[in-house]
Amino acid sequence: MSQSKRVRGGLLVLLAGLIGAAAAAYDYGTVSTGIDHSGGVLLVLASSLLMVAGGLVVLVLDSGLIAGIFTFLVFLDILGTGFAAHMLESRLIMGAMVLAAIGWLLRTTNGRRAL
Amino acid sequence: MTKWAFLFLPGAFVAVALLWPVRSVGEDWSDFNGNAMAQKYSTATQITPDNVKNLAIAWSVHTGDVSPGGAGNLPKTAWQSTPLFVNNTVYVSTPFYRIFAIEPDTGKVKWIYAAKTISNDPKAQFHGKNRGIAYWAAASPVAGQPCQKVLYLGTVEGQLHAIDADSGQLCQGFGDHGILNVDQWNTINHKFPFELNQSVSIYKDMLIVGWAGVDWSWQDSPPGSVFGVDARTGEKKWDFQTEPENMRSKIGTTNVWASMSVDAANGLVYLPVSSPENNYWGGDRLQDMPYATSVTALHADTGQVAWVRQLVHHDIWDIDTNAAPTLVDIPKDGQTIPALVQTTKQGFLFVLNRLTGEPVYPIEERSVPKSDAPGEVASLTQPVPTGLEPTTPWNFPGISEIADLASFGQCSKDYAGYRDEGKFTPPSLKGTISETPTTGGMEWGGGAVDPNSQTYVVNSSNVIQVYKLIPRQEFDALYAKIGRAAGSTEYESPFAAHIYTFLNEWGMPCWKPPYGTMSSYDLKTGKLLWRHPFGQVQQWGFYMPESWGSVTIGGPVITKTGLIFIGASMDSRVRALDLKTGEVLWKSLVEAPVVATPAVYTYKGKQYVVFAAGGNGIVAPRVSDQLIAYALPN
Repeated sequence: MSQSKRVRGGLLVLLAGLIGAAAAAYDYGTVSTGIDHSGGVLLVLASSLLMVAGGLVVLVLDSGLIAGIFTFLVFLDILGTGFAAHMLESRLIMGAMVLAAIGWLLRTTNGRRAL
Repeated sequence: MTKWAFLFLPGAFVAVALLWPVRSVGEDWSDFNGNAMAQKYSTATQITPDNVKNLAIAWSVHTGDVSPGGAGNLPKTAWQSTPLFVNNTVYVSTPFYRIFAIEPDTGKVKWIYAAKTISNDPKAQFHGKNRGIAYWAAASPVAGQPCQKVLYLGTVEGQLHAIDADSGQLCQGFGDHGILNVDQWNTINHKFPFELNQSVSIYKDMLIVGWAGVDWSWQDSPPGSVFGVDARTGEKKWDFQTEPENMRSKIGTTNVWASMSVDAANGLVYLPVSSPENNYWGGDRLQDMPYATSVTALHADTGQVAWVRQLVHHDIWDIDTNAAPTLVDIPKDGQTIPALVQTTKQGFLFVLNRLTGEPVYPIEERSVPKSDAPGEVASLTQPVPTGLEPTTPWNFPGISEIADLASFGQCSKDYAGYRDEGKFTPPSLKGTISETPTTGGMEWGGGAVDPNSQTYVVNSSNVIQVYKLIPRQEFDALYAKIGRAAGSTEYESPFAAHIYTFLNEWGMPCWKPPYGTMSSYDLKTGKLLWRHPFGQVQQWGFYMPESWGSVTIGGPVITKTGLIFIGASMDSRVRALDLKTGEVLWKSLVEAPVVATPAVYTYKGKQYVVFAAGGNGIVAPRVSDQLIAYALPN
């Protein structure tokens, strides 16, 4: 049961990263968002894609030192991207980061191993 | 049967009165400033503080007249044009010198007038700047004749176009087949054509025409002048020269580039007169120039001076008087004073009797620092109004800790190398901190007034710039290497100038926020009712805290229901504020900063608020061509 929650948590992080990246791409190209073609949105796009990559590494490795380091990096990524989304006033990206935080918590609070 | 009919007449009158479209003063927006008195006030009552949160987009038009600037493009556009609503039509002019006539309820374009100018040639001179058009209607229109209602559009090359407001066709009886060459009167030091960016002012059948030009480039540019012109024919009736005759060949500008206001009942027109060239060093113009940086009242019929009030003596800070004074009657000490409120770049509000020019609230001659620049003799005192609290601080607000930290102390290090003794510290060779910046303070939007409560509101920037004089030889050598980055050329003067905003290497302001505020005053007492940071800074897409406010350009409007509508913020948002408290009650995102004053009108019983979201490259890099109207849903 806890193993399945952990996998689901990891998948949620991946999904949130993908949503964040898609939302950032939309924001970048859409004038009516008010943050189009801005460096801030590009930063969030990049950090969301890094979240996807980091989440994949953790899912594949499952445990160990490397997985632990990446777990921590994903945590920092969620915090940083969430704060940037707050400053960009992008509700969709903020929502994605809340989702990522839930996934990260599910992953880390179920079972002994790292994310 | 008929003998009883009269019993129904009162009811019929009531029914007709209820069904007849109600039109009153203020439902039109017939002037760049709402009305000729520059009050920016609307009597419309449909949108209130309670329902403003329900505002929705009624229509939006993209004119196509926009350029982002950059390599291969026309220069960046600056669309600062307040739309008019008159003749049951919304009219707006664009930076490409076109007029759009638009249906007020649907946004459908009725017709477009395109002025043929050299601006249509990308290689020619092009400023891409427009601040609006004027509307005149014959007092006794001749039925069936065109041009009984006329729009006036100025161009960058000094041509004034008269266009029939119904058909969009040129009025053949005006000037040369509808176009008046105002530049024909540009006869002294024709360094550039008169730029007619700002709408002309209207008094009876007279157009009052000022002009803009290329600032900071030549000390001996064209000297300031204003013209009274027949609205039907374009014939010049009078001209007013702003400089003493013996100075006109060597000192330029002192012109009227901002809009003017008119007191039709008293036959007076009020001119916000700018500063002379060289803007930052006045060693070649030590002679008294009474109209420079002043508000000057002329008899509109003759162009004769009624009175003048100089707002800066021997201006060496480029503190052009830059907005039409707002005319309002103020009940005070048992009398009603015909007054005007003149805002300035240094954050001052001068309240004067508009018939005499005498202060309603005291003006003190305050001692100010001496100049240490060779050949310069700064005025020993400057007029400081003591009634209404200035919108900007007298002294430097302090170094921003965040900007200083982010630049490893660059801000404090740079500050230590500059001269700073508060407002009116003269420009210097080492660089002077200027609390009276070229960018303002208050800009061309000016303020708005509720003439019933005499509540006056105005938005203002808090910007710190550095004014550095550079000796001619040194500047010319630098200019040969790096071009315009060297600064303002001020040719024919022993000093050029480098004027820049006090930022760190990341582009962060080195001074403490707020960077922009909105203030409200009671003109009856001079009391500040409230002041709040206004707008939000946006950098790299990130919105900074609301407590920082934003650099703000573009004026506010007030409605009878106690609302303030305004764009004028870096964050490309338009807002409605509560007049009583300054609280933001509604905001909406548009495509670029609104650097024009909005217009408010009522059509077929529905109230609209319309914004030209054009940007100007000063407030933020983003520009657009969006004209957007808001209304309450049906």
